[in-house]
Amino acid sequence: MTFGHPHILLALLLVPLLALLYVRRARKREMTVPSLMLWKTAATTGAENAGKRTGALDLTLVLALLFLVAAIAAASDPVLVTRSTASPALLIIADRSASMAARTNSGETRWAGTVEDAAALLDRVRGGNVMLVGLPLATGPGLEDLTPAQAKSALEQLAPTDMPLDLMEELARCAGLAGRASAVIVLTDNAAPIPENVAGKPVLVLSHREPSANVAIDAFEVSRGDDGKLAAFVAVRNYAARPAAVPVTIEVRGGPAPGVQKQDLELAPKGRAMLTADLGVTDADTVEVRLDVRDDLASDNRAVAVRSGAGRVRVAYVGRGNQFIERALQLLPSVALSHFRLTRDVKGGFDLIIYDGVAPERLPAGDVVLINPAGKIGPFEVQDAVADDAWVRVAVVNESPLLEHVDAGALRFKHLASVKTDAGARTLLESAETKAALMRWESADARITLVGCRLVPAETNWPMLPSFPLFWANIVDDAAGGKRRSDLPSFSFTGEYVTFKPKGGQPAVTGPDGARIPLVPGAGARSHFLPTTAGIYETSDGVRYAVNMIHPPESDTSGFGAEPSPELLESVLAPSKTAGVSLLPYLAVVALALAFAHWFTSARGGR
Amino acid sequence: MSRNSLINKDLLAKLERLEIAFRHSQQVRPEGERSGAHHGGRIEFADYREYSPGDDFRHIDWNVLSRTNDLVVKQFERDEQYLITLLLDRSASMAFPQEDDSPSKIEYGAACLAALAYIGLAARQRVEMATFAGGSCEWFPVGSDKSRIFGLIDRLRALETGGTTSMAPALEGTFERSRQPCLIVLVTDLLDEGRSRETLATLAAKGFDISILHVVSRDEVEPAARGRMRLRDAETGDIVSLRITDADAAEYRRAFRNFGEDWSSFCGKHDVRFLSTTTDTPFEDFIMKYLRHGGLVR
Repeated sequence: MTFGHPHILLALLLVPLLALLYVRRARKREMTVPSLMLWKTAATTGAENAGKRTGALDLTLVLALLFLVAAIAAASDPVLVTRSTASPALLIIADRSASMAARTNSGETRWAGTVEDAAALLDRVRGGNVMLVGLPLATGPGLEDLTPAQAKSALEQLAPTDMPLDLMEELARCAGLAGRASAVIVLTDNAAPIPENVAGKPVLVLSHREPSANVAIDAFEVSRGDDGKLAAFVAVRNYAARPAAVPVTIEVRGGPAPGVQKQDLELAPKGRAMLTADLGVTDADTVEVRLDVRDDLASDNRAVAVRSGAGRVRVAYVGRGNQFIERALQLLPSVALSHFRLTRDVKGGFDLIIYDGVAPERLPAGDVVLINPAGKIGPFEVQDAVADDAWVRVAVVNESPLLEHVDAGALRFKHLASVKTDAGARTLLESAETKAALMRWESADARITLVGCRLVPAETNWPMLPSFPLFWANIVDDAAGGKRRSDLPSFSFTGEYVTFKPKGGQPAVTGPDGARIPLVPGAGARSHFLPTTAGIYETSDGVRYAVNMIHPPESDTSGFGAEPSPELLESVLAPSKTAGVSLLPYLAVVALALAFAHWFTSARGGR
Repeated sequence: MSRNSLINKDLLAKLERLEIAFRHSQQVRPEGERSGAHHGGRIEFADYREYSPGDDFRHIDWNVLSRTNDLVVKQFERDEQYLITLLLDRSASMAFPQEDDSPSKIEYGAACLAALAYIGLAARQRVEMATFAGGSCEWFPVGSDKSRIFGLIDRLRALETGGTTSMAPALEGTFERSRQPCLIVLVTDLLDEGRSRETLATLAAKGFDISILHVVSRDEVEPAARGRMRLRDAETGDIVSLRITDADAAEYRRAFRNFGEDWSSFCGKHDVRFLSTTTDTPFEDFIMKYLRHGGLVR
């Protein structure tokens, strides 16, 4: 038997003390009275009951003590535990991160080694059931109620990905499944110490993590120099304990002048080397860098950038901060957001500048969003603001791509600006009092969008509506449109969702191996896909996206493994089945019954 | 509270204005007895009243007739020296209450007895006193002079309680000593299971003017004891184990009330005054009010 609150049992020490006090209190007191004559008369029936009353007293004491014991026992939350050997219910968590593809000294990959160990372990399991989960969870699989044989087969069909993995976080997310298992088996090469139990269940780690020799592309970027020509920046790291000579090949494909460059890098043990290669061209479809080595992990030996139109839009937010705007912008993977408090800190180079409650003396050229400005600024002169207790509606006065997927009828405002402007400005959203919620002014070199209130829930419900991030996606698309974002080859990383906006029809994406990639539909007619392997992905619209496995923690294949203890192994294979029955409700009922009996006995004795 | 603290000079002064209310003439004697056995007493002028036919002409006041021409007769009252016998129960039960602020029954009863003695002595009555307990009776004549009151008080102070309540020997002793009806004041808690009632009935039938002052403590009327108790009888030493509940206490109060009503009924039946008091009753109130209301003094 176990107790949820064993310290409460110390209160049982009070029982004999209370019994002593009870008995002492109940002890007969001797008193001399003038005469017993009347007492004898009065207590004739009482004297007849004297024996019963003595019994009642004792019973009262016994009931009181039993009640006390039952109450204390109930408060200590006792659990009746029964143990027996049972068939295991195993949760196998398979780390499918990129490093699991590293080859060990035996020539097989870590993945293959751990799967082999797991298969051998599953062969020893008699009965029971297995849950199999692949990490990262987004890659799956998540299989339940497998026999050991089925689990073994399913495991052998899996392969590592090029994804990075935060093992601790993913294990925490598996705690719910672990609660249903008798033991957790983790197949991983992760260097972080694995917890000894997850959700109270023992964790057996199967690991093949022999020291290996690996060199990897640590960083890669294609940029344009001042002369307009492309340049490639490459950083290479040697994770091995010995020096490495690494031939680096940089290949430019497509464009006016395809070509190949080769350089050799000498890398010290655990060292890093960088090179910047002038590609000698102003345009290229693809820039690929390869490390021509045979090391333990191949996926980090190649990186590629393609011209896809998926380049980042650089957005500057200037103001005191607005979590709604910033969160909406952060949802857009193509946005590189910078935050400034002062207008003077904003230098050039941004595709879009958002002034929230602040304004520079002179508006810059390009795309600008003014939120709740005051006074004269650019083509606008904000005369006053309308503050009302009642929420006001707005209507679309002029159609605009900025309002695509924005339900203007759902918008409510408490504070709108009264704006004077020249004829070049268009009002997009306006209240019945002709107060502007959204205005637009465009010139040859500038496009200014004005929002007539602070975008906070106190002044409008817009930040709380689904159309709010879509509005900002439209703003970003509008700001990025027509710019030369596609002229630089770029890439994404494995494990990061790629968002794209299909031009029409049913979108589809083909992976590096030619297989269809499952898509995640998104708001605002956008779609997303999760690249699990490095390579070039292509949408049904012909847009290409390069995805690279540049994750230094995955490339760092150095380390060591450890054999699980035989005791742990045995406990996992033949776990003790522990069944706990809480006695609290039963004891509570007993205590209540005793309390009632005590009360009844006392009442009867004290009639 | 000491016994003499109940009697003080102020109270004595007030007591002098009271007199015992004798209900029976003590000249009434049993048939065959000689009238000359009555001792003492004198005739004193009391008042005038109009003459009516049949009046003894020897009582006509001739001086008044000669001066006013009104025919009035003198009224005389006999200044008889009655015998007052005061009997005080000094059994062990009279020592209660022992822990209360109020005086014990023996203190209260002795003070009553002293007050009545002083009233009698102040009226030149002959007073005798006896204390009784456990079948024995101790007599000490007081006399008929009020100066004897101090000796009486001294004797009362020296009283010690003990023994069982047994009124019959004292009552029989009274009869044997007086041989004629007299006033008997019996101060007791009546916790007598003997033949006291028969003796009282006999004396009452013989013309004795009997008054019973039933003195009890508050705790006897309303016992406060509760729980498991071993009750020891102060007089007999008997022990009874009881678990006294509120219901038992109510039963006791009912029994006590029946006990008092039974004695009151008995006394009423035999022309015996029955006055009951508790020791927490202010003593002066008891003497000056309740005894007067009860007809023992006036």
